Amino acid sequence: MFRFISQLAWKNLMRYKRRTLITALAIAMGIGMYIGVDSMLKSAEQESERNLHDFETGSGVITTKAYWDSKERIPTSEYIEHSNVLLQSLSDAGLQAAPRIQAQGELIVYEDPYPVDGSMRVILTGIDPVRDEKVFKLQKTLSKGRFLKEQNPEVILGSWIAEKLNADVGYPITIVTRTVNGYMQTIDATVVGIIDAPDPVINRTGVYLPLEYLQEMLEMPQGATHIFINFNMSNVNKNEQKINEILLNQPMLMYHSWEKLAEDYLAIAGAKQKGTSFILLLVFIIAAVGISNTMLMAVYERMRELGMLRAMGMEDEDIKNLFFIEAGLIGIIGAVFGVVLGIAFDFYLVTYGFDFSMFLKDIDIGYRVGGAFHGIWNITTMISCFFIGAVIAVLVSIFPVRRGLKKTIVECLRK
Amino acid sequence: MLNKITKCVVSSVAVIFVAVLVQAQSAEDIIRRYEQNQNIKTMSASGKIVIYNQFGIQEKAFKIWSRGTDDSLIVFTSKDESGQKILRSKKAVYLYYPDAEEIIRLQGAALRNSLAGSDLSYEDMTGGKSILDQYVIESISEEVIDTTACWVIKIKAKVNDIPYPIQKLWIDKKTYALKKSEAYSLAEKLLKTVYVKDYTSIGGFVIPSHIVVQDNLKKQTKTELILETIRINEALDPNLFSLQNLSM
Amino acid sequence: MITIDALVKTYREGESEVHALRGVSLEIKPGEFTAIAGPSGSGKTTLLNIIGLLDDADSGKILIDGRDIQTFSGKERARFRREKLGFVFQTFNLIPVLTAYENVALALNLLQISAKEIESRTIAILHEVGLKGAENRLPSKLSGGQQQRVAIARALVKRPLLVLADEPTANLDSVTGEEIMKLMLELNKKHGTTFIFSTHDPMVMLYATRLIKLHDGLIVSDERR
Repeated sequence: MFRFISQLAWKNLMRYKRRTLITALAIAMGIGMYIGVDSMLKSAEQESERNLHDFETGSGVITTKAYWDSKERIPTSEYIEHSNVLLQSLSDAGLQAAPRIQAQGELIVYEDPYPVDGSMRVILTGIDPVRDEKVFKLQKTLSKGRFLKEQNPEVILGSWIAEKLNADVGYPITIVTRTVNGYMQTIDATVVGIIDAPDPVINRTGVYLPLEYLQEMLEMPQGATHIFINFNMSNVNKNEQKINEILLNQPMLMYHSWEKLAEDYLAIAGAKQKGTSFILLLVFIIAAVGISNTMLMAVYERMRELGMLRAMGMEDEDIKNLFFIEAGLIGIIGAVFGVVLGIAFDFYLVTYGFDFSMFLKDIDIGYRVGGAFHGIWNITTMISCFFIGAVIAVLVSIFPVRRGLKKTIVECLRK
Repeated sequence: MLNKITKCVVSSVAVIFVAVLVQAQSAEDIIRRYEQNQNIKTMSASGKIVIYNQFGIQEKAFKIWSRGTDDSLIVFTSKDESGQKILRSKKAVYLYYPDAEEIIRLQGAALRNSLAGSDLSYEDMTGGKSILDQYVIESISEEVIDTTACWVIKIKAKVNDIPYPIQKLWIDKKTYALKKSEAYSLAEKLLKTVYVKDYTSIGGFVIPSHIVVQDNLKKQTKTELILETIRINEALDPNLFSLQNLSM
Repeated sequence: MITIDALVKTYREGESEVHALRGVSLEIKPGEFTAIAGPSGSGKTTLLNIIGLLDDADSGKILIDGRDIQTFSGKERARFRREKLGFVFQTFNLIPVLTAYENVALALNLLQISAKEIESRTIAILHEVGLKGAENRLPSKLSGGQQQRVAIARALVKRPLLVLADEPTANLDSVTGEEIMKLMLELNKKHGTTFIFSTHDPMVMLYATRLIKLHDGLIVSDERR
C-alpha cells in the first residue's frame, strides 16, 4: 500500500510540475540562505576568536582591580607597579606573559610631509617587542618598515590609521598625552612601521610605542596597565590556577580570562546570532507558508478525486499519508536544491568571500574580521537543514489535509 | 699658592651662592607681588571671546563675575549661546544649557575639553592655588618684549595633577602684571602661549583686558579674550555662585 | 439481497428543510438491473448515496445480506465499499494522473491482492469493456465514452456485490450513452452483478429490467419487466 501511495504521490507532483518546483524553490532558497549565512557567521566567529586571541586578549590578562573597575576610561594611573617582578613569577611558572601600557592620547600631524595639519584622538599602546611576540602575533603583520626597538621615540601605526592620516614610514608624528601624575606630556616620534593585521580593530586603532620608552615618558618606571598571558587553551583550568596562586599575595591585582576582556564582542556575537536566527526563522516560516498553501491548493483542487478514493474504500489514514508523502517529497526536493545552493554559497564564501573592508574601516561591527567575510564548511548544518526541510514540509501540510478530510464524501464528490 | 687659589675659588662660590640666594628670593617675591596684583575680592565684567580656526572667525559675547580665586560665573550673551552658563568653584566646573535645562558637572578627563570651542580648556579655568604652592622656581632672567621690561621666571611643578609641569612667566617689572606666559609639556615642548595685549587699571590693580591664547600644537588656531566694563571689589550677591542660580 | 426499510433523509439548507426521502422501502434481488427514475430533486441520488454508504439516513434500515449497514463504523464502511461496492458516476471521476490500466488496478491495489492477479484481472476487464489497446492512455486522452468504460471496469474488477451508477450517461451523447447501457447490461448478465442506477433519461429506463419511480422522496411505482 505504501509503495502504491508513494507512486501516486510522485505522479501527482509531476502532474503539477511548475507548482511543485516553485514551492520546492521557496524551501531551497530558505535552506540555501540559512546554510550560507550560518557558514559566514560561524567563520566570522572563528576568525574573530582567533584574532582576539592573537592580537587583543591572549588567553587572559592581569590588571589592578582599580583599573578594571573603570577600564572604559583607560585609567592609566591605576597601573601595576613593579611589573618586572610579576613577569618573573609568571615566567618561573612556565607562563608566557607580555606587559603592555594603554594610555589616552592625541596624534598631531603637520602639513609637509602630511597633506594637511590634523589631529586624532587615539589609544596609545606600549609594548615590549621581545615579550610581546610570545603572546601576540603583532610582529608578523608588519606590512611596511620595521618593528619597534627599545628606548626610541618611534611609533607603529595600524594601516587604516596610517591611511586616514596619510602617514608613511619615516614621517614625524607628535603625540600628546598625560603622565600618570597628571602632567601634559608630548612625544615627538617617527613612524617606523605600518601593520596590516587580520584584526580590523588593530588596523583601525593601533598606535604602538616601545614599552620602556613610554614608561619613562609617562613617569611609570617598570609599570604596566596590563600583563597579557598566553597559554594552551586545552589546559585552561590548570593554567588559571597557576596564575591565581601567583596573585594570592597581590590583593590589588586580578586576572581576567579572555572572555571577560572580550565581553563586548561576545555580547555582539550572541546578539547577532539571535538576530540572524530570528530572520532565518522568518524565512523558514515564509517557506512553510508556501508549502502549506500549495498543499491547501492541492487538497481543494482534488476534492472530487479525494471523494472518489474514499468512495472506493481508501481509508482516511492512507489518504492523509498520500498527501504527507507529496508534501514530504516537495520538502525533500526543496531540501536537496537548498543544500546544493548552500554548497554553492559556501564554495564562493570559502574561496572568495565577501569583502566588506570598505565599510569596516570606519564602523566597528564587533566581529574581528579584517577584510573579506569567508565561510566554513559545516556538514552538520547541511544535514540538519535537509531533514528540517523535509520534516517541516510534512508538518505544515497536516492542517490543510485535515481540513480537506473533514468534508463528507458526498460533499467532496459534489465539487 | 694653592691656598690663595682655594680661597679665591671658595669666595667666588660664596658670592655666587649668595647672589643666587638673593636672586631666588627675588623671584619668589616677584611671584608674590604678581599674585597680590590679582588678589581682587570680586570682579564683574562683560566681554567677548573671539575664536580663530580653520572654519573661520567666531565671536561669543559673555558676562563674567568672580569672587576671589575660586568662584567664577560666565554667562554667554551672544545669540547662538544665549543662556549658556559656566560655573567654577574650587575643583569642579558646572555647565548649564538652557535648551536642555541640564546642569552637567565636569570632572577628571572632561575638564580637558575645550571651553566653547576655544584654545582654552575648562582645566585652564580651574586652580586657584598660589603658584608657589604648586611650583618651584627653576630660573629667572630678564627680557624686553614690546618695549616692556619683564622678568622671565621659569617654574617647575612640585605637586601632581596639574596640567602644565613647566611654565615660563613674563612679568612686567613696573606693574607686576603678566605680560606673557608659556606652558610646556614634561618633555619641554611648548604647548600654549598666553600674550596680554592690553590692561585696565582700576583701584590700584592692573587687570589684563585683552588676552591672546595660542595653542602651539595646532598652528592654525588662536583665541582672544577681551574684557570691557570691568568693575572690581563691589558687593556681589553670594547666591550668584550657587547651583540654584545656575539653572535660573 | 438488499432490503431497504422506511428510509428517511432530510437536508437542511439554511432556514428551509428538504425532505429527500420520506420513507422509502424496497427489496432488490441479486442480479437485478434496476433503474431508479424520477425528476431532479426526487431523491434518487440520495437513495443511491445512502445505499452506497456515502451518506447516512436519518432513520430506517438497509440490510445487505442480512447486515444492517447503517450501523457500520467508519472503518467498516470503508472496508465494505472497498470490497463489496462499485461506483460509476456521471462525471467519470477517474484519477487524472493514472492511466486507464492504473485507474482500474487502483481498485485492486486497495484490496492487497498479489501483483500478478491484479495484472491479469485488470487486463481482462479492460478487454471486456472494449478498451484493448488503450490501457496506457491517460484519461485526458480518452473520449467520454471510453472514460466511462474505464469507470465501469474499475467498478467491476473487484467483483463487487453491487454496482451503483449515478446517471451514468448524463455526460454522454445518445449514441455513446446507448453503448454504455448495452455494455452494463451485458456485464450484468455475464457476471450476475446487481446494478442499481439512477436516471431521468427515458432511453436509459428502457434498458432496465426493473424500473422504480421516485417522486418527492417516495416510491410512486415499481415495475418489473
